[in-house]
Amino acid sequence: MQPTAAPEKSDEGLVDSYQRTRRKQDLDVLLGRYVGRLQGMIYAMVLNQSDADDLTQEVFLRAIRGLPQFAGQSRFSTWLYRVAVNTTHRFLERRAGSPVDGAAVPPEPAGPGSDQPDRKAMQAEMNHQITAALAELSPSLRAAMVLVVLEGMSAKEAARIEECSRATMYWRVHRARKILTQRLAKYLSP
Amino acid sequence: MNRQKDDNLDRLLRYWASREQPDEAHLESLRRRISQAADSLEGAGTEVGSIPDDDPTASRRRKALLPAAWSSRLAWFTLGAAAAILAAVVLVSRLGPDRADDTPGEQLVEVPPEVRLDRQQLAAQAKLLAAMKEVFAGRLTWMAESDGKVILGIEPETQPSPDGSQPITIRLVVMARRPGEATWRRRWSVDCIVHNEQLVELAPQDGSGAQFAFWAHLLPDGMIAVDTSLGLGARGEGREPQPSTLDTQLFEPQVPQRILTLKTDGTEYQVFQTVAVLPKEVG
Repeated sequence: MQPTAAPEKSDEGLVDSYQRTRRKQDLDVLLGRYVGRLQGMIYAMVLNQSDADDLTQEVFLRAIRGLPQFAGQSRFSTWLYRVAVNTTHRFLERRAGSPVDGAAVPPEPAGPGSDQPDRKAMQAEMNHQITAALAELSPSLRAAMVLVVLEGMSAKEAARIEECSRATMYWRVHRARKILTQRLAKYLSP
Repeated sequence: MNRQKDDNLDRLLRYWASREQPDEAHLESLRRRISQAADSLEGAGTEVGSIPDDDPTASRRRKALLPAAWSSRLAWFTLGAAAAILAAVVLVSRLGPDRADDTPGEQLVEVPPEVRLDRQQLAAQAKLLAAMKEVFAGRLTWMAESDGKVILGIEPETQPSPDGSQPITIRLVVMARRPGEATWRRRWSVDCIVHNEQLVELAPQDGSGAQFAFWAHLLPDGMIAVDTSLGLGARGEGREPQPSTLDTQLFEPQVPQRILTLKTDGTEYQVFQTVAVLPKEVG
């Protein structure tokens, strides 16, 4: 008879377990599940890898401190994203006026040893243009695009995280798409 | 067509996100860094200031964690804060919501009755639009009516049909009060019928010196988002009006909103707007 693997605990199950036992392993599992997703989401909002790493750490530490009081009124992922979005917005407010590093740095030319220098250079240029276009959006428009388009959330869920109405969230996504479509027209094939 | 563009943009952004994602080694190192930082957290969950404010129950729980002496201080602080909030509410209600140095804060006029768009008016507009469309056979793109004068947006050639959504009517009413005047008067008004996501710019030759631009977008839940840009205050003064571009406002159909108050050259202005979708049977 084959041994059956224990079913993976849900996020809420891990939170419940942590609330009762304070077992570090439960935190580590949650951290493993969300570190990549949160870092990616935060990066798309701040457009700087180093800042995204620092903020990801800050978000997790804030979440860990608050976990014993997590009441389960929303899904854990929604709650965690809300902590992340709030923390990131506060960071962006503090940084307001400073240039976005990622957008300011021009793409590196492909090295001489590169097998497809033209293609790599074009790709780097495109990535730079997309970063610059995202940097031009206001934080609320950028957050809307990140949550709905990159994270694949429904407008309702994204609105809950951003604490705005669903209509506002639809509008932000529409508005951001319009700006980005104009800005990135040359990369959007018909 | 728009859907296709959106899909292409979404794909491009997802591709960008995947390219920008750090590699597994970087993420593992970050995970370890956070795990170590978490180890150094002392008494996680009992530190009052550390509870994220995202949890609606956080303040209640925070209070439960406080020692008795702090509870007493908190009670006094709460009383003081409540008194301050009450005073602020009284002050705000006396000043009005739009009080600001450069805005006419006193005696703001209530929403004038002519700002409202009722069903009969909408039906009449829809009929007029249908009649005009017939006359201009596909070349009419928008229509505006200001103080009995009709302004038409006509293209030289037949235009493709819009996206199938109903036309939107935007009523804008400008109330003004000159220096020394006690009462507000209607300075200008316009009803503009546009299609979804159509930009319309208006500069009526009526001596008012007004310039307007509208852009409306129907949202899936029936709300209507409108961008408005307007220039006021150049009447007979040989100067260009100062444009005020307003951020996107969300409207419930047929519910008027005051969208702007401003003071220029001593004259105070209040601008009201009502937005509605024209009835289906005629659009």
